[in-house]
Amino acid sequence: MHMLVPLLIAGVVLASEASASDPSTCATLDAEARSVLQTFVERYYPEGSEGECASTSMYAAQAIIDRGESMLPCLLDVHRNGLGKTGLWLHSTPAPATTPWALELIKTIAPETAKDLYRGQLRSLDNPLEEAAVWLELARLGDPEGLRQITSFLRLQSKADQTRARPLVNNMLDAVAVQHYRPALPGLEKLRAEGYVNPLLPVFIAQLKGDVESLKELAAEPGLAGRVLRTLVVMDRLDVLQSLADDPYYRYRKSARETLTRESATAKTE
Amino acid sequence: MATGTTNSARERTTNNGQLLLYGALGGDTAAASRPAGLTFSTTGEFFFTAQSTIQHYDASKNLVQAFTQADGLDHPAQIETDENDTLWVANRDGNNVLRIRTDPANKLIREKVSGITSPRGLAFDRDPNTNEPWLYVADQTEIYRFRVYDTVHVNITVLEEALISPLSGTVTSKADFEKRVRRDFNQARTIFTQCGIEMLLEGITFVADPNSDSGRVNASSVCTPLPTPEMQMLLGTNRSANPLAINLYYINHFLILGMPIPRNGESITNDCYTSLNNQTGGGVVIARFSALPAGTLTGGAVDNTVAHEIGHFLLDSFMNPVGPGEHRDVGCGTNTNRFHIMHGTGCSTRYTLDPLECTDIRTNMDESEFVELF
Repeated sequence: MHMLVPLLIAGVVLASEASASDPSTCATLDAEARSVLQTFVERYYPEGSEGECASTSMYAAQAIIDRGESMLPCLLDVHRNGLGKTGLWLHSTPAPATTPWALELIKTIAPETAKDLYRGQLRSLDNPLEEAAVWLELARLGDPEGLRQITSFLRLQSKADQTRARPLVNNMLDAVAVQHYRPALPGLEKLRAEGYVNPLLPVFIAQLKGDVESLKELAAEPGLAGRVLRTLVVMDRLDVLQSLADDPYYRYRKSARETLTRESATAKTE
Repeated sequence: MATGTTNSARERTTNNGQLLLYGALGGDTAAASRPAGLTFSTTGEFFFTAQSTIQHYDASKNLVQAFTQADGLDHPAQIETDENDTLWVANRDGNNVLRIRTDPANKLIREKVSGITSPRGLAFDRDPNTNEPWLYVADQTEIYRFRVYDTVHVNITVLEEALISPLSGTVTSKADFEKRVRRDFNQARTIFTQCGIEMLLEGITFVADPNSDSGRVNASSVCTPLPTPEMQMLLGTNRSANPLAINLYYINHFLILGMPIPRNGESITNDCYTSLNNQTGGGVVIARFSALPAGTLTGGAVDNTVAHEIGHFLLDSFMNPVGPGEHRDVGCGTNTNRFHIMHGTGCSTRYTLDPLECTDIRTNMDESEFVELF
């Protein structure tokens, strides 16, 4: 993602609701919950000169998410005040100034709380690109105003701005596709007409146009097939997915079958 | 395999010295109808073909079982056992070669080779240079050679921007970097060979960063339905035409929310990204550089990072543990809550896979399909 995003999500620390002398909310966690958080912190910030495995760190994050809202007060504390007073920072170096992962965890555990935090960030920003990055996060969470704002951003971008804000634009394209936000279509078509390069753009445009025939063609491409199969689920075109799964000449028919099976299992769960 | 001496036309000693008489297999002379092929296991078990069956006797000359047409046999010719006592069959009129696990309680029959015409002979040998085992099969006009191991195909893509040091701007040549990539791959290959899995390198390709971001790729910090858009773009680049190949990418370094982070590699599967399809969107990403906590970029992946991340890809995960799982504990040594390949970079045990993780790689419910059995 663009470098401006960390400024927004990590660098803008909201005014603390706790005074400096208050003990950290994290101190009230039970031993097991604290251990889970401690493990994550140690893996997110490995000590020494060697990097960590991202998967290892993410599985540690999942253990936090699995504990649900019971972790929320501590995560909010870390988001607002950092790790310094939590007792979770055991390295000899100073605790990091920002903790971008805290809001990511909050976003997963409590999306509505995260929306409030992002809206709060908007009040303190006056840079259009930084604002756009926050609207993007809101759009990803399905916020209607966020989707309207990023749609407007995509439509109004000049070619020079597109290049400068390329990571932001790519993330916005992904967000409108994931949310199947059809009003964004003119903006996407404008980008294509201007020669904007994103291999997934034809998939997103076909999706928002409801152009199933184009999607079926794109589904044959090794680099696009996975996204197309997922797109058919987002469009609720399981009939097309089924036809690909049944097609003995379709190279990724097994993937299509698995996507169908997973979707079926999800539907039953819901 | 039989290695003993022949005493007469009706006797043969096996390699563990047990004596069998062809005409005295439990008194069942009718079983040997037009025998065409015969072999012994290392434990003295005896197999011979009879029309479209293979008779299986134990070392005490008791009939164990008969494999039949229902098992896919169609006038088999030569048969042979390998070092693991797996039975191999030149299945003449079936136009294929079958591999049979003969344990009656755990019988398994797979077609190893197809598309040949009337195979009649087969033999095993080892490459004198690499010691790799090979299977030779003869049909009416040709002799073919096949790999004996289970195989994992790996397709490697290097972002050209990974050749450039973000600190000094020094550019490593493609030839030199390819040597490093091959060293990493061979390290992984050596480790997985312990499971009887042969890793095959489809190719190494250099491409420009599809995200146009200096080879940096934004990663997730938490498991989500799909990877970040940047990661999806990367994983959509130069994918193998084989859906069951593992696509492995070398990048410059990872970012999280735009900031360099101390990460050496990541495995991208549906274990973490729950809506991801492994065949069409999965892969392994290796960072050439990694950011220290202070933000300084330094050396990223170490020599066995590739093996570790492929381990993540192939093993069942922490999220859905069967067996020890991947990261349910910390430490090295005899830690039974963690597979060896999942131990930290400083653990010597990381180089020695245990049988349980070999089993998991072949049997876990999703990624095991990337191991081409036989």
